[in-house]
Amino acid sequence: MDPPYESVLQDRGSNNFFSPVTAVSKEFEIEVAEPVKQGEGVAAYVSYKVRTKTTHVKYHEPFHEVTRRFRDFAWLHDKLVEKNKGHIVPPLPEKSAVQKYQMATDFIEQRRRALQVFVNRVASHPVLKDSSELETFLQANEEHWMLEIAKWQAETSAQHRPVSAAAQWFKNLQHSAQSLVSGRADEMQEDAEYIKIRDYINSLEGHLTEAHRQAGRLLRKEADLGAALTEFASAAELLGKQDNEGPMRVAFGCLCTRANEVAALSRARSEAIAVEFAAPLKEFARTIKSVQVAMADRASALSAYSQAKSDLDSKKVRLAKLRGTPGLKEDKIAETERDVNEADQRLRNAKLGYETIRDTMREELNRFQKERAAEMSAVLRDFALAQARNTAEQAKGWGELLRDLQQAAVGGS
Amino acid sequence: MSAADPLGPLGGGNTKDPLDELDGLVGQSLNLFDGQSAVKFPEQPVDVFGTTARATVGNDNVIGQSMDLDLLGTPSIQQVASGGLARSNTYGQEAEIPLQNDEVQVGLAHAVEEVQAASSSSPQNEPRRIESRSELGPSGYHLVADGPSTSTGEGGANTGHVADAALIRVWIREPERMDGTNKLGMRTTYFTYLVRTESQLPGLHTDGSEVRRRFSEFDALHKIMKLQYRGYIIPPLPEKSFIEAKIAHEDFLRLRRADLQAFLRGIASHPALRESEALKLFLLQPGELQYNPAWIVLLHSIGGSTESTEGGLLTSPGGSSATSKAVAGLNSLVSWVRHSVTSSRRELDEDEQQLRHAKDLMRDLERLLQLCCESARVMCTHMDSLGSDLYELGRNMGMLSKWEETLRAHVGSYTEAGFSASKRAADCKQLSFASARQHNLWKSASVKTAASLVALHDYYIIMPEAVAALEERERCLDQIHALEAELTAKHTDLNKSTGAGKAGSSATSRDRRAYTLTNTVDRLEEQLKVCRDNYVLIKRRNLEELRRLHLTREKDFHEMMGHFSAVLAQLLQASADMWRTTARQFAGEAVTPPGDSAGVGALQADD
Repeated sequence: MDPPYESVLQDRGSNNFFSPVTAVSKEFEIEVAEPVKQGEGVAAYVSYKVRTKTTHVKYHEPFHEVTRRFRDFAWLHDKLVEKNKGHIVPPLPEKSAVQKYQMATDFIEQRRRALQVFVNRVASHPVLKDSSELETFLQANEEHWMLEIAKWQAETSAQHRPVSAAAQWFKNLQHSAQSLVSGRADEMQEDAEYIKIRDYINSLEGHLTEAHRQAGRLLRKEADLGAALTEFASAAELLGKQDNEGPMRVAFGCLCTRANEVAALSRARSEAIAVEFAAPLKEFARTIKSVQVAMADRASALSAYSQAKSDLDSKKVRLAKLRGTPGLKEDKIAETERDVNEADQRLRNAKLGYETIRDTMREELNRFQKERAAEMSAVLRDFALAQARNTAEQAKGWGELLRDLQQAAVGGS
Repeated sequence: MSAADPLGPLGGGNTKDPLDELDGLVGQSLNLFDGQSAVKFPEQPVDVFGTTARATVGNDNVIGQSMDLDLLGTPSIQQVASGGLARSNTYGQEAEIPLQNDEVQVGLAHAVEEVQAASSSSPQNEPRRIESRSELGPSGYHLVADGPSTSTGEGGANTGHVADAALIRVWIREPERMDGTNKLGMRTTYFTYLVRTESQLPGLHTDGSEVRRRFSEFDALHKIMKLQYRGYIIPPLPEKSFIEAKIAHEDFLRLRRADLQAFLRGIASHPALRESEALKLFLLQPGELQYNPAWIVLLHSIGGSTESTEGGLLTSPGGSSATSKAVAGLNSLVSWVRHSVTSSRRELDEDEQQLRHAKDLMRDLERLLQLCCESARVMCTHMDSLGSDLYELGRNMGMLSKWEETLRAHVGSYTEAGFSASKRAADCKQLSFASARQHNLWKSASVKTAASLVALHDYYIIMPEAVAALEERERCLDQIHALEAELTAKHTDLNKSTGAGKAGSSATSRDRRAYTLTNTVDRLEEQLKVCRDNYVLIKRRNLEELRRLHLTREKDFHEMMGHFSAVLAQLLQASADMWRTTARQFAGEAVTPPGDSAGVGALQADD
């Protein structure tokens, strides 16, 4: 059974009059299948077959099949994040070291499904689907692929990333301190609509967790009820046995049997529902994190832009001062002029960087919200359907008991 | 998507609407109730104890009779479950039965009536005797009597008589607080209850008399019954309670009123007990009973001590205090005998053995019933708790909806973000409503289920009384044995004294002794005869009661189970319908069937 929300991936953008006509033609149909355990002990891993059917222009052939493992999916994800700032990259399934080690069948199945969802989401993203990283992932042969992976691992093991992050952080700090002292706030402000959406997204996670918890509690309660029903059924059966061969024994026996059936059924269904709907909720939570990554990138870009501006301003001021000072060497002024030009260039870049992200994110956020709305509807609908089915089956069970009892009465005893 | 799972979530391509599959499943269950009493599976809160609840067990007659309940809690006596509602409706609270407290003791009263109707002949015991011992089944009380309709199955056919059986109808209402002074001159507070009677019973004819009674008067009635009707199963009375009375808790009053009502109704529907003078006085005599001379006489018979109750030898209702005084002294003897003359020394006849076995079975039954009651209570508690959780979920969804609305308001309805926000808000609101409706459903279901299983509780509390009734007979037998032992002893003495005289004693003292001994022997023989007659009477009553109990128990439990399954079936059906509707509502927004214009989806989405 495919996760319920998968259906939505093929069914988007067609039901409101705001959407630009995004022809969501199914350019890709990707299947992640056949998990096979490889290796032994700590080095063990699971490999999957990734089968692609595509009509995308960039791909030479419509069919591809490759073998990939979780690490490879992680490569795809990280590369996309790196190269597509401001875009909301679909989230990767959880990296769970412990569970992976245990490699339980359930876990592997869940992961397989989640990976399938992930790669399909990438392939339906209006921008990401055209990426060369995806192309590589889907069709590179073993050799080519190992090269890529090796390169990537070399990059990540090099320490410059954490360093650059720290450096950036220092710069941010410096900048904020400066503006505090100078009393000048960031001249660059985010636009109001974005801020609201940003706040909304940040609190969304909390709400989702709460909803998840409640749904879980509900399902557990249903399971408890089933257990209580079973208890009652046993007690009733004992009561009936008192009657030796009389009619009451038969009747209570019926009650016991049916009640146990209903209880078992209800328990099984509740558990199934819990499992089914845990996955989409978790995926929502992870997607929100992806959004937050994009938002963080935007914030950095804004910050960089702002710093570049103040940097330029201070350099201009210095130049003006120098010019005003009589008897200064020409080359000093020229040097400062060069500084100013560089700063100006940097400012232009930063501005471009920020504005690119900003525009990208506008699109992305709208798309994200629309998708989320549709998906949530689908999840809720499926949840309601599953519950409806669950309760209808139970009702049927009770109805049958009723019939049994009536028959016992009429049949005489 | 696997083909084997027709209702599986939609895989690629929504060619088949899964809601159609669900229809098939749900529709089948619905068919159950076709052709029977109207069953509604509404989305509005289900009416508590509506006709739907009893739409089964093939007793069309019973269904035809009134099921309506008015707020004063005057249900038709046939309803087993009505007692529960009567209890809760008195103060206008609908079905707020606190789950921790015990359910109503009503079942037996109604059960008795049904059986009596089924047996259709005179309410007296005569024709229903066991003719021979062979009719006693393996379980001592599984008595297969000759006579009409003994099995539950046929019980239904005779329910036409039920209407005739409502000979005495009793209601208790309007507890009132009174202040007075007790015998010691201290100020006390107590409660009185209004007792209303309508009866067509020959000895007790009235169209609606009302009297006020307080608990001590109920207590006295109970004691009198126990004394006069040894061998019968007397409905139990709630315990005297001093502290709670002072606090006058509303719950306490409500439960006590119901308990007392059940007690009176139990007596009123017992074929033998309701003929008693004491009952007549109790129900009809206006004014305070403590000033009524006839009542005072009755009170004397029960005396102040429990001992005399035990020893009371009564050949007919009404008792004679002279006799009871006379054997008061026997009590110490009896207890001595019981200790020294163990019953194993005596061969008990078959009847006795079977009746004792029956007592053990009663005790077992009591235990089992307690288990059942307990697990039933747990089950209902879970239902209630599930209802609460659904309420919480609904509330949270409501809040989520409002939050989405706020976003929409911030960014504007006509931006894309605003639009999707409003869609999400609508979804959350749908779910919130659905949850709220489900919450109502489960809460009412919890109450209804508890009420449907009321019979378990009723029988549970009657078991000790049944055991007590059986023990009365045993006590009587012990008395007989004691008397016989004493008699033998006295005879021996008599023989010894009339035989060779003792050396050294004068003729007069010998004669005197012989004279007193003979007197004693005569007296003892008289008492023995009375005792033996009592024994026969009590034993007969025991057997009747056992049979009556068994029959009514069968019928009641069968009804109970039918009721129970009906309640649950209805509940889950309603729940399924609600979920299905909810699913449809979500589907209306999120899934546009292929070929449909986008506009339709949009129209539905715009809440």
